[in-house]
Amino acid sequence: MSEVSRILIANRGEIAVRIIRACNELNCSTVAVYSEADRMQPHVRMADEAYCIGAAPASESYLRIDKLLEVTKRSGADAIHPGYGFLAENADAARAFEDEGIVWIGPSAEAIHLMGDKLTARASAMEAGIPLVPGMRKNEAISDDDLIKGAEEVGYPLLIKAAAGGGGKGMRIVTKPEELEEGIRIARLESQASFGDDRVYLERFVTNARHVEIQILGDRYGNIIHLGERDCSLQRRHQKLIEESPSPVVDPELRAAMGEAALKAARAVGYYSAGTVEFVLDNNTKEFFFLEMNTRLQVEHTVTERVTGIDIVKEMIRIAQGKRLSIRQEEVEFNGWAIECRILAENPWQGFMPSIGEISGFSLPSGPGVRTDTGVGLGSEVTPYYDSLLAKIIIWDTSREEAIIRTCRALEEFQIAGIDTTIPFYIQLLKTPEFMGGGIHTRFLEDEYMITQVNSHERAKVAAVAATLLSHQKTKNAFVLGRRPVGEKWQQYARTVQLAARF
Amino acid sequence: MKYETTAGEESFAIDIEDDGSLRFDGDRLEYDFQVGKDPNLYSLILDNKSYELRVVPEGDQYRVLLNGENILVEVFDERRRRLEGVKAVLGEAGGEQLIKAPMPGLVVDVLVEAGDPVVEGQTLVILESMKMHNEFKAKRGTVVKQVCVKIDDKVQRDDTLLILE
Repeated sequence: MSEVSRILIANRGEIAVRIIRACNELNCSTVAVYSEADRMQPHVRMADEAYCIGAAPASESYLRIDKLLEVTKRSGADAIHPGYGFLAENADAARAFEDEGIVWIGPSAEAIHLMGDKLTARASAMEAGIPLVPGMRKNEAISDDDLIKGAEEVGYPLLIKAAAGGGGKGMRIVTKPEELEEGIRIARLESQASFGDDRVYLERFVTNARHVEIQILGDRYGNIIHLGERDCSLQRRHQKLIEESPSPVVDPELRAAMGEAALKAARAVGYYSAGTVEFVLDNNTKEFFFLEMNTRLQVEHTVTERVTGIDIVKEMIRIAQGKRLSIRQEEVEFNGWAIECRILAENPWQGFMPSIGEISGFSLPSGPGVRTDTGVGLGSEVTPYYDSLLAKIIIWDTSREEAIIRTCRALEEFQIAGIDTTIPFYIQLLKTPEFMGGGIHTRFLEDEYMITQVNSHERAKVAAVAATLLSHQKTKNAFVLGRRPVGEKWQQYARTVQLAARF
Repeated sequence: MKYETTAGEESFAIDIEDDGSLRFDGDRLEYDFQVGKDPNLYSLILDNKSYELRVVPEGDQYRVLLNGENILVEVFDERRRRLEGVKAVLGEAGGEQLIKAPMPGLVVDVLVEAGDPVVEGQTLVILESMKMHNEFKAKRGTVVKQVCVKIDDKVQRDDTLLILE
């Protein structure tokens, strides 16, 4: 095994920054890659070396295994951290690097292959004796006709899911048979576009479900532990928005049972590095079903780090260096409550439409219990090429109640001007009795919550005064211009043009 | 100078005198408005209540960020109102509906052709942006007049995707 001291980060945005920080703390040098759209992104500026690997679309840059291999050679990198998304769950990529003697900071290509494909993952989980949600699963492509026939047996409501999927892409919920055909068509399209694979399958949709997942950490010598659960029930169209640890609905016995099941699934594929086993938890019966295993670092790893005090990214690097786990299961302790909010460049009041443009004002929240992981800053251009995650805030306090209050405080401090973000939506949502009571389910936003901007008279008044004062100054300047003595024709013309430009 | 300012859903009459004094819906307001060193960062003290805000001009409007919330503000002075009046007269009539891209993206599917009748809620075009598929649906039953894009086209914000009768 090579040394793992010079690490190429095959990613961008906040996760690339997160990995660079871990590398710096471990005294590893860092190699960043970037697309033409990302030249001025923080990860490029923070790394020790940076290489442009192509045009803005991910398929021409961050997904190009050949270019990444070339950069590892040119830079002398001995390891690669894929982050999440892009190549993180691509077994071929992991194999390609390992073949060149570059250490993949993640699990084995074999584990990615077995767990990365949702269909083989289910088979592995089933063999390991872990309960599954009723569904129709086959490794081979399933025809539309067979899906439509099989849907009767699976029952409604059901989910159409992409075999190669993840992150909510290529996933559709169908509540009645009439919607099935259209749903299959769209799911296949999305799956093809996101993963280059249009295989889909069906699964029963558990109502009153919570999304609870277990963080796993294992070394290359068969030692494997879990770091408790994260509750990611607050989702919109299967995209996680807010995550917390611990879960408000998991007690120590359930945690132990879920942890044991997750370890069983991980051991079944000889797992090492960081990984996450996702479960659907039926909030009525407290039964849990295996959903999938993510063979990579997750966006929300931060809340686990905050309550356990374990730096998961540094652990991943140490494991890749061939070190043994430094913590035993019985040493894992949970302290207080952590909440993460994903700050997205989307307009919550207009159907979460992506918001694109330049960040023209930026200030981070700070103070007690506030951690911010961000991949953007003042002047960053938010482009349509990548996903909309700008930053994460991770808030800690001693109890859930206090953590929620602190999160709202931090969100109000967080200023991102020039584009729309999900911040105001979170402030509103965290204060609802449903969220505060810890009783929401994964369909809460779709089924029960009316997403509307609430008008505040005070806010409107203050905004109106400020904008009017600014506008007044602008008009006054225009008048000053107009009062100057009239000169030559060209001067008059220039004034007209200037005035026109103002209105 | 008299202004009519709309902020969010509300509308206010604001009068700023030559000496700088301000009346808000007729009431005198004491204010201290300062620009920060940070771009578009302002501090406003309004009758001794302190607010930190960011104000970004956006076309004819201002986008004001205050306590996490973005508020769109539009300020009309007399000149602007006259201008708007002229625009309204020149404005085009007719019932054509242009479906425009609200963001840059990639056209992944076009489900209709010119001349096709469409029903309310029917999906017309699917646009991919930030890895999400956004479906554009007909808001009412009508006929497709013109399709302006094809599959794999890259579109910019406000590009016309198709025209409905």
